Amino acid sequence: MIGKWIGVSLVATAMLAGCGQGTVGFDVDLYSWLTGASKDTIPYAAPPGASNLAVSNTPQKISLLPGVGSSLVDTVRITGTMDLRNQSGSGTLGLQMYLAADSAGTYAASAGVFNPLPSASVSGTNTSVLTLTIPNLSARLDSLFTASTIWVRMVASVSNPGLTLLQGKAVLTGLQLRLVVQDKLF
Amino acid sequence: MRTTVVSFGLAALVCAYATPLSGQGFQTDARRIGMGGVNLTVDGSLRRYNPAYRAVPSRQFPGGAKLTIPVPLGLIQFFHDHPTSGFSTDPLFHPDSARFNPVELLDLVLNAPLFYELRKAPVPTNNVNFTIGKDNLVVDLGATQAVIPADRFGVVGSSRPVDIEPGFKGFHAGVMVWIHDQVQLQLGDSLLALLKEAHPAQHRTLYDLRDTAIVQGGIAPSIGYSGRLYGNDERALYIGVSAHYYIGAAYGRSGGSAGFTTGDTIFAGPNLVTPSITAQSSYSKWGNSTGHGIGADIGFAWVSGPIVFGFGINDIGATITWPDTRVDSVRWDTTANKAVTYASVLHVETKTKLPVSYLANVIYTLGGTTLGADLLNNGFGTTLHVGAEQRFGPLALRGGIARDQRKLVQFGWGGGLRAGPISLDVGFWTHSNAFSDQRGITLATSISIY
Repeated sequence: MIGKWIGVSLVATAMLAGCGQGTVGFDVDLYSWLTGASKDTIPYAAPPGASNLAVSNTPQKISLLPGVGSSLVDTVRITGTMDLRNQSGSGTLGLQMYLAADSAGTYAASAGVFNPLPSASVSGTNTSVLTLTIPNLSARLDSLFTASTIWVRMVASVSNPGLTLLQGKAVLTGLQLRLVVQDKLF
Repeated sequence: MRTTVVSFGLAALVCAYATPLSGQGFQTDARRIGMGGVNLTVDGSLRRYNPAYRAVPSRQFPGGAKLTIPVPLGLIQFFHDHPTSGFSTDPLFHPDSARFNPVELLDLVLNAPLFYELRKAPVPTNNVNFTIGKDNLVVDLGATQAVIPADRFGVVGSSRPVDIEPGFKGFHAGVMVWIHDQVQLQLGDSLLALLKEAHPAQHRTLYDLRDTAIVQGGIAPSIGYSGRLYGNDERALYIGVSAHYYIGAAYGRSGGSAGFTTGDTIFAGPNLVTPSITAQSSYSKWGNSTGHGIGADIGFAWVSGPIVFGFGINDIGATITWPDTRVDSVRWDTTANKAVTYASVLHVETKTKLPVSYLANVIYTLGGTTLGADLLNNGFGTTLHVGAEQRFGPLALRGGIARDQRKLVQFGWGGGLRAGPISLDVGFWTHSNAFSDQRGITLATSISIY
């Protein structure tokens, strides 16, 4: 509770400091939470003929600073990269990321942020790079970012049109969230 | 919760705004405002800081009004914008309103809308940014870093709202009411680096704010003498001394620090940080035993033709002894995870000091021209006012500058039109808010009776 109010105080100070027509920005390194909890990797193994096989990691809680509860969310930008380190077979791998206010919420289809899914082809023992970019997230998810925590779950969607096992692991190498709010604190 | 956040914001802004406020003072005389706030007549301000001015003949300061009545054009402006019939729904007064703006409300409290706000001090645009990672926190306040005080900041006031001392042949005796309030805050080094220099938050580091606050007041029977030490009406040295026996009615003081200590990881676990609170307060309530102390004021004034120079010091050696105070201590108990109050210590003798204030001023009067300057230190900061008035028959033109406690230069100008014993005066005064060096302009109007 105290930590919450310290966070509130920091944000309040910043917002009061930015009073006028200023904005308050948050650069949140989502990757630091995921890699710290060993949730940056999704191993995949899709048998021949598999289509859109979903492989998920478990949800991870991310801390945001509290105190922006009444703020107007201006921009939510997500950028990141993922290495697709294939070990065998060939096919395609797409990534969906689910953001929700609690762990269970990340399992709702509506919590998905990518549409369409970013995807890349993989083959042999090559490593492909999947680029993740959302210039401005849908406004329907704005309210998530005015809370003090947010939950993230990643799901790989694997398709294997080949005749051999498609196997490897998707390793997140960076995931940043840029949140800009207008200074309507109160 | 919302109220708490609002309170926090207001408190923060009070601190931020307090310095310029105390530096400029609240004045109701458009004539003085038009001269940058300088005193060109022997009024209560000069006599309060320099007892020698009790003896200086008033003819040395021509032009002083018997009564000045402010014309509150600002109230018309205010009630036009905020009609009383709409107070119950006015967002200005309702924190629950989506349009409530604490900055606007605080500005109203600290700058009572007595006079017309010709141009409001612009609130600067500023973008601030947080960088957050599991083990990283950087707070970049942008241009606002410049106004984060690196030194101790707050408000200090030492006033005498009532001072009744009738005199006879230079001797005077009476009683005054004295009030001393002082709130000072100091950011700890780590918190200062976090906020002012955007340093990343460090592991196992205390980020704290230290405070010292004191409020005390009472009455003081006083006796003194003000008279001409030597010289004649054209050239003379005047001296004034006053001795006070301070009787304290009530007193309270608190000091300590509040903050938080980071852990091994900046954002980890259910509790991001460990609170750190240590505070000690001592007080003697109204009706408890009174405090006692003695102090003195001394001043002199040198008059040489059209020039008057004065220097006065107040509350020299004013130490108040409170024989029966109660001392409470509070600290954060990390085991219980709450603030714990320790057993009070009763019947403790405590000593407090009143800040020594001094005023130096000079006034030069020649014909229709009056120039003046004063330098005031109230124990916390120094303000400087320089101003002039030129009379052309019934018309007067005025101008002046001042340096406030933020060391910002402010400007005043104006004029007056006199008809017999009555004059209408107009004064313009620049002012700044805590977040900007840009200035707003206030239009002051008053009527003086001579």
